[in-house]
Amino acid sequence: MEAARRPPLLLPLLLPLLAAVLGAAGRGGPGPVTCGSVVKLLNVRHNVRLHSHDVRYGSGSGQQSVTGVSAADDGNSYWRVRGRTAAVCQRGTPVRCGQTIRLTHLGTGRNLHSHRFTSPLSGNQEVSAFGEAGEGDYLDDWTVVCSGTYWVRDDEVRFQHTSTDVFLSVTGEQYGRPIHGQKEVHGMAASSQNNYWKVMEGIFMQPSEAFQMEQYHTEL
Amino acid sequence: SAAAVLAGPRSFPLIAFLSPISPHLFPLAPFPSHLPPIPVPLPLPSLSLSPHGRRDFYKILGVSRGASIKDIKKAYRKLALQLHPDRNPDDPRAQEKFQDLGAAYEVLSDEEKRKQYDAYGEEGLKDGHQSSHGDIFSHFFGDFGFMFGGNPRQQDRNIPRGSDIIVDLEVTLEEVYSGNFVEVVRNKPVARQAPGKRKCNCRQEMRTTQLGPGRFQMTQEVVCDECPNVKLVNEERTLEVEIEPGVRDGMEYPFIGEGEPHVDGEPGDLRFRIKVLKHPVFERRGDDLYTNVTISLVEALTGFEMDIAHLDGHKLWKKGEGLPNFDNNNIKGSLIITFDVEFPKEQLTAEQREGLKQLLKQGSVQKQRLLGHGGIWEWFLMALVVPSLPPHGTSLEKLPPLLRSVLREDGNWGRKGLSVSMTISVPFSSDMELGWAVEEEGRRGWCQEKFALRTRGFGVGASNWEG
Repeated sequence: MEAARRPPLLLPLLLPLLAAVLGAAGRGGPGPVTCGSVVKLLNVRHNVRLHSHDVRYGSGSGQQSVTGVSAADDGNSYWRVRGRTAAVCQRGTPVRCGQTIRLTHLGTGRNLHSHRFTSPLSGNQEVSAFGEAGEGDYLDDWTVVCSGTYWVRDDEVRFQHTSTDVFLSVTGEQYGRPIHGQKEVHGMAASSQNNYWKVMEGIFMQPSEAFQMEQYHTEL
Repeated sequence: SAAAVLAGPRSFPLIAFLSPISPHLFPLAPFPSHLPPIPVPLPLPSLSLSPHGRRDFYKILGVSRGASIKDIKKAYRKLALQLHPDRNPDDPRAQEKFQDLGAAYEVLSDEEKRKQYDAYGEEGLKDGHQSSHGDIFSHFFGDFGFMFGGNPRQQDRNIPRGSDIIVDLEVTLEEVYSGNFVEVVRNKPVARQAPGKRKCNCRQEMRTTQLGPGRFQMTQEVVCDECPNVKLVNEERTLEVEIEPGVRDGMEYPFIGEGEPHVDGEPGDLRFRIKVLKHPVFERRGDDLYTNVTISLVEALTGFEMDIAHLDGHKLWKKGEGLPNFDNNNIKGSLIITFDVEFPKEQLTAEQREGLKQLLKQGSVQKQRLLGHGGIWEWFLMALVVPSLPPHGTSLEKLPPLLRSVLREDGNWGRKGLSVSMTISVPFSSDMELGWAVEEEGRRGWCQEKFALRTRGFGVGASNWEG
């Protein structure tokens, strides 16, 4: 570790710098999204948040539906960031670009899921919420596609379904009753402006100290 | 961990630490609701004018001069709950003590200020206080804005409330043992005043209109009230969740007002629910810790030394090594270590077995109990040769004692044969042969059979035979 080799006199100078890094969480902005965090995801193009609820699809798989809602204050739009199926991602571990994760719906305990069923409005691939108490199957795995090393909070990132390669997307189709006004969320193979998502509100577990030390070394 | 720093162009409050109310102290309302809300504390006077120029901040917080940030945070939270003027209505100095506490925390939790204070004392601090103590306190215990100048929450249950958010907080057993602080950033929409009016409390109403004499029409209409306009703005603040030592699965740490907002009412709460993760070495049962240690047979026989590292890294060999009790951290559970002896897997030759018997000078435990003779072979032959077997239907009590001890208690025999079962404890063995002789008197006369039993390790191989 580099710090051990630096002369001790520099430490009083280094500590405030370290504190500044921690306070600003990296130069110029917020820090990375970490495992254990609970987040809301906004589709940038259509301005809706990823959402789920205890309402099932009337067609396709009949599983719990996943939609996009325009309200910013809905408690059912929270998703927990976790490691891939059968793996453990420790609380506070930053998510890397290219890493596989699961998104577990906070209210119902089901995982963001996709499979080869057709979505009801647009005919793309259906995206549902599946599993019990956070445990589903490997079709719950999604890869975070972004540039850079880590998934940083202000970034616009894409989620690619690990098994079928489709991107989590919204193209604007709207549902009628009983979920009037909510938009369809589905998987699409083609990449476009519709695939980009940004983390908004949430409860963010700060990166563990080990990561913060690492960041500090790479920046200096 | 270093304190979250105040520098930076961001607009959120300067020192931002939020801490929950300890669940075991305040299950519902943090302060008695019948007391009037406390007045807004005055901002602390700048230090150069303060009459309390020489306060010992370390003493106020009750920490040593070398205390870590973690200790300081812990001390502040504990004392802030105790010293709050609402909790001490009879103490005329309560407000003063409380403000001293806030000042002490503000200085000692800041790297820079603490250094200045250590070197030059309170008078040597360069800047005056930038935030009022009211600010610091409200950041520690949730969004208690309503307490300062507003109505206490508990009085009006009709105000609509945003939803609560419950977040599972996974903690390791190490954190349960030593305690920890988890830093969390809460980004949430907050309802702020906006210019103009908006429609609120919209509802459907039936309107009756008269079309003519005796003819009416009923229509449904949406009717709204007018309210001040509100817009949702995202705001961020840092919260600190304390994992108290001894905390149990399912305990919750609430942060009042940090849940989802409600445009027509109050925000809901954010609650962290503790989930203790399984540990690879220690198993928790209540406040006790269980662990298994495997040692070899040689170690079991010849003694051994080993270091077992506890959850915080210290080596142990004494009582009181379990987890701290949540309600009283000074009481600790027990550490129970189970030693599993691993027997060697190789077979011993007859010479080696003789050698071991000589070396250990320990004959069979069984024979010592029953007959006092040497040698396992003899014992079996003697124990089981009985002159006659009882006729069918004899009760167990009538049997000679020796035979009774080897019979199964349920006295299960019939004309066809005698079922015998027996448990043999072998102090140590490696591939031993046991002989077993049975004599039986039946209508056909005596018969004698010998069965060989092979033991491997410390398990018995065959155990059922009928003669």
